[in-house]
Amino acid sequence: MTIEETIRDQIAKHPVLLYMKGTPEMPQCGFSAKAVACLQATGVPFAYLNILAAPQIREKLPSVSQWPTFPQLFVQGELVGGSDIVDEISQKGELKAMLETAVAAQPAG
Amino acid sequence: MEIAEIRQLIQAGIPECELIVAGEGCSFSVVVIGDSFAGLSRVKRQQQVLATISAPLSTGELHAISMRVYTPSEWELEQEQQAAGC
Repeated sequence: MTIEETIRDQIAKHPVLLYMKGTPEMPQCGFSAKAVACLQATGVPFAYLNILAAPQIREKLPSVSQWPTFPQLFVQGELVGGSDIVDEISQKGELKAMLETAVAAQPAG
Repeated sequence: MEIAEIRQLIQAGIPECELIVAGEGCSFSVVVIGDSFAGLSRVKRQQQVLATISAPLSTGELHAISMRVYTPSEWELEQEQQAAGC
């Protein structure tokens, strides 16, 4: 698989996927930390990928997603946005429902 | 980078938008208000703004940019809500 195929496969496989700097336990950037805090506040489980440990994905993802910075949140295969958008929809109380819908729609198995 | 440079780049790419820019060095926050954003998703709006500053973002001259994008009527509503403290 090419890097681009790997990325598309990851995005398709996980209903909620955060590409971030560091890990949820130890974010390496304030923006990633903010996105993680918003996601954790919903109580909905999410997948993450530490792009600092995956330099090829870090390099390729912005051109695949048309988004230049990190973190990047994907829900049901679509880019939701970066930390500002995650924060905004979290404050508006829309994030939890969005994530719950995504997880519920996930095919069994 | 300077506030004026950020302002110039965004305005060149999105004419007739209203801009509030704060920050210094490689870290800025911007509010972009424009009629042209009506009907677009949040991600599409930010992609349009990010496209105007892709050059300094790719060189690292600009590292962090925090952004809110509104239509004029959304911005009005947002300010009313902020004033009301909710």
